Amino acid sequence: MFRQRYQHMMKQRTPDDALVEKVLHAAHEQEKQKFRVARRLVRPTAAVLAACLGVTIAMPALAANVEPIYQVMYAISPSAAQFFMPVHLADENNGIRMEVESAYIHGNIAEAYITMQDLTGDRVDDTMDLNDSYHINLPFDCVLATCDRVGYDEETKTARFYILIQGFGTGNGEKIEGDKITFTLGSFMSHKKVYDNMQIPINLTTVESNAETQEVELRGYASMEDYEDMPDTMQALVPSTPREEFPVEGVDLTGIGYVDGKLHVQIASEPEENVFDGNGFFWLVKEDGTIVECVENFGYRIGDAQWAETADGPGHYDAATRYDEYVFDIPQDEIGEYQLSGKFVTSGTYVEGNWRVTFPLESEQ
Amino acid sequence: MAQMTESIDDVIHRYRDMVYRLAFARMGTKYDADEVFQEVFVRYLDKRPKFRDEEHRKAWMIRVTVNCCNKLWNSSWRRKTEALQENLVWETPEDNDLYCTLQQLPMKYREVIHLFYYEDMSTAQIAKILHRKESTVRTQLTRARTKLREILKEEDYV
Repeated sequence: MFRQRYQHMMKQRTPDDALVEKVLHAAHEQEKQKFRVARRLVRPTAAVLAACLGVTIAMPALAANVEPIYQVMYAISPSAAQFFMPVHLADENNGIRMEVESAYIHGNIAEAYITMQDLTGDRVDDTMDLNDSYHINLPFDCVLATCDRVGYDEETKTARFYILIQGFGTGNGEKIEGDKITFTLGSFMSHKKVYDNMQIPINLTTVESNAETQEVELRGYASMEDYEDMPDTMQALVPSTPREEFPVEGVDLTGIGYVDGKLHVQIASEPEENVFDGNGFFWLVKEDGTIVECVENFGYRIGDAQWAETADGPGHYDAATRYDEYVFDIPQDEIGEYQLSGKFVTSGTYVEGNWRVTFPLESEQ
Repeated sequence: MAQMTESIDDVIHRYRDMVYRLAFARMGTKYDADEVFQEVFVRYLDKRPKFRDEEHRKAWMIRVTVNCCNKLWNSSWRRKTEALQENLVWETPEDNDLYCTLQQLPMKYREVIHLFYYEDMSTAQIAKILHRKESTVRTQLTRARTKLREILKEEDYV
């Protein structure tokens, strides 16, 4: 009975004709070697802007009536600046103001600048990170959305972010104007501390040869190889007492040892403490200075995870201890030639709030 | 060993519903299913894999669909967006009830339920395609059935 009822339900779900047509169109175009669906979008102009903004924001004003963001853009790329339309829609919460300054809609791409300003203190600084707590509500299919901090004004305690959103159909001119985007932020981190180029004083010749492991379900995975074969589970180190040699506050080094001939390094952090958001990694340095990066790294949770339902999604696990594990493919009889090193970024301030701005996608007339 | 060649149109039309329904079963929303659907065929177009037979192609489609669901669910992009509110239309209230019930199950259970009850695959076949132990698949199927019974309160239903 269940089988019939399930099949009756699922048979009602089919892809829209327009969706199938879109894929067929992409296939035909690719066969003609005139079109390839973009997997990533590289925008040199934006990269240059991001790299230069910190310097140019201190430049003398070009004109008294020109806003700061336009001063910057004109200084770098006058041709790009003229297309950004002022928006100036803002929301204020918890003493912090979020404003959409300007936007530029062209074809299937939307670009916008958003500022965050602390009106009461110094919670916004030049290390501010929106972390994973921003959301963009979109009325169309999207293949890419990024949000990067591109500048900070010490005098007004204002951080500036650049948003790039690309609708589906790259290169095919599917326009996205005429709709609205809602940008929502629930929290952010600032006053970050960087532990750069750390040499972790652990004698790697003393690590366990066959470290105890357990099967874990992965929450994230990266590999030198193609992601397509990403496993659902992996053998991970069983956490042990945190090593005192690891100096990063808020992050513990809870395991190091060999598993199936590869060196595993495990760190742990507590999500509730909001100190570490995964911004860190290890590498090995050989005696001759050669740097060896990990061949795999993966994340998982262990502990009292709670299944949390969400209003518009199928739910997720929350609150268990977060683990990240790094795997190096160096034979154990050679590991004595290497030094474990790393870079980690932690946050000193975590601010919660509810900021929300909806702005129209209108291209220049 | 002979390798299969077939037009891309034929492949898309043959597997469009299977890919889409598995993506929907796993992700639970039309929005996500649409995204996974596109990604699966983009990968197919990119790689143009060669297959021994149709079963091999079908297994590839299922495996890649599950991988794309995993990738979407784990991606920072997914965490930074909110799906638009969806009003899914079902033919009967029972369909809607069943859909809502299934959304209370973890995703890994939903994909096993779908492959078992919709694609009529055995636990051994599911295990092979999903790269899991057959015992793991059986356990997940049993737990999913138990949860469904608890929620639906129909002892002999599943």
